[in-house]
Amino acid sequence: MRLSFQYFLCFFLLSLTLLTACGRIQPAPADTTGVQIELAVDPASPAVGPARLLVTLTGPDGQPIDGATVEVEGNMTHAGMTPVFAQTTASEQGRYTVPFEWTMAGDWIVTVRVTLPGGEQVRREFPVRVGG
Amino acid sequence: MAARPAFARHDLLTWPLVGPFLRWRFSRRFLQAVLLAVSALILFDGFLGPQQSPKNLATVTVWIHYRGLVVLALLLVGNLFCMACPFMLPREAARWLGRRLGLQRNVPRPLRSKWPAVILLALFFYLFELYDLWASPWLTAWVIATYFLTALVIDLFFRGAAFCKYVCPLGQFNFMAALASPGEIRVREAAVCTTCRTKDCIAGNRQTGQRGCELWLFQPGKVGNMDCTFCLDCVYACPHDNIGLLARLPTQELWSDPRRAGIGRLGRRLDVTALLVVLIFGAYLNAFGMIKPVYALEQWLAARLHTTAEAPVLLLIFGVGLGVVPPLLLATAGWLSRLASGRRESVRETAQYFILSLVPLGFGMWLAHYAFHFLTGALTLIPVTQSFLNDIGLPAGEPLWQLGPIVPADWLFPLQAFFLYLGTFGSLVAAFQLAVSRYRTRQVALRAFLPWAALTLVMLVAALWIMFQPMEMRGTIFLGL
Repeated sequence: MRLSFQYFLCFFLLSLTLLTACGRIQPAPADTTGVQIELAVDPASPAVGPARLLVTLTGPDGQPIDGATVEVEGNMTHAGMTPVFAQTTASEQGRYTVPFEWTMAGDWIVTVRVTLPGGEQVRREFPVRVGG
Repeated sequence: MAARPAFARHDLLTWPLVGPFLRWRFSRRFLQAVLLAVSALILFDGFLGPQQSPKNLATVTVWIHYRGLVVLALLLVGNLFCMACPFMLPREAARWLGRRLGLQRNVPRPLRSKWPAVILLALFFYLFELYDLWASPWLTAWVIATYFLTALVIDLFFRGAAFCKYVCPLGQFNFMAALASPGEIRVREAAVCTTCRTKDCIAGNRQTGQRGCELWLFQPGKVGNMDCTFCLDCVYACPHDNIGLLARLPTQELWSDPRRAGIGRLGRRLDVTALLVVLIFGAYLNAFGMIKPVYALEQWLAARLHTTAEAPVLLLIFGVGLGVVPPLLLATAGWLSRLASGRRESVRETAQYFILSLVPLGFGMWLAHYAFHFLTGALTLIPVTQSFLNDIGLPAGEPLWQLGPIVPADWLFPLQAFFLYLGTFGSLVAAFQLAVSRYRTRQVALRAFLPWAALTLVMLVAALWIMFQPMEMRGTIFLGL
């Protein structure tokens, strides 16, 4: 029996309905806090192995922010690689030091998520190239 | 007629469970519908989901699971992806519409070749590196959407399986790799076909309305897997139940170059040679793009070209990798082989004939590369699916991001090397058998075989060198900018 167009149309409509029912994925909320997040990597030329990520938080008034929770997530740009997570709350003059490990050479996207003392959340992504 | 060896009498269509399922006329539609639904989810997440490659269904399923499972299926059975191809359902709709609107016509004769696919494949490999497609869910989704649209448009206007036979780059990859597969759709008893008058396998079965092969592979003259999509149309159409999915020695169809129904001799078609060049040497370029030395080469070329743009640098690498190195290697081996055999033929004829022997090694290279990604990242599908479900409001728990590899890291290189040795062995056997079937005596055949054996071993060393380099998951950042 040949596939009729009606059969196909029904299938497509079913798929479409399923997807519509799923709804849109919500985009990340826009940052309205004015908080600046900066990332430095130690060693400056990162290589596979242990490292330190230095996250600096500055408020809209230019003052350092202490007392925040800083979570770091490292993902490679290629699918199929497990992410690396780390976090810290200890800081000095708005500088947070996060122990980290580069598990593979290549291009990484480091996502820094900050929960401010007031509970607001801010995030920023940084590209990092790791040598072999 | 000589009896077939015992293993060659294994017919997947007679196995319990899988046999009855495949012989069910709607099994293919079922598989296609499943993959179409998966494709819809992939498109959805690719366009609207998180745009980090390891966290999106589009990039994870396409670049890790699809590629890994396809090569494993080709290694173990044959062209199973084409059997379940999700692009078939939109194509069926397009054909229905094309017939209704009177738009359908035969493919113009000049386009009945592999050249469109050769160009598309080379272009895809180039764009894959240039735009780091593996790193972008959005671009990956666009690739899939474009694929659906192209298949739909082509089958709206052209009769038969024009898209599969002449255009589809994925299909051409599967056709090439399936030349080395252990399974083949073919007649069970040749004697039955000699008494058949209706030729339903190609003409279609008038009683059941089942169409025949749309890729013009007439079963009694069909040899091997080239152009065979494992669609099983011939199986359903045959009124004598004389077609099966039979086992064979892997690479066996590469041991000679007979005339193939609907294709001709592979070694006499320049378009097929070009296709094999792109797929065999493309395997090396594709893997080379993921290792550390490519940075140094790109930087060196960029300095020479006085540019910081990646496009011209990659164009040069691909131009040399596909347009200069392969012809030089093939011409050298062909010239030495002709010299050794003393046969009066052109170097091109010799090279076009013996390039068939490099197919197993080319496939081994793809297998080693794709298996690496699959074995290191197969389980990432679990947290990515959890994350997807959570995002669309279906609670699936905290994503298990620690999941990833399915084998210990220490196994990876030995497994890759094993696949390469397997491919090399297949290539050496095929080259020798090709020589034996071409030349009068074994001595001449052996002499003609040696240059191809040397080329195979050189290519093995190059493949091992590439696989031995530390893999770098690069993308998005060029020349440190």
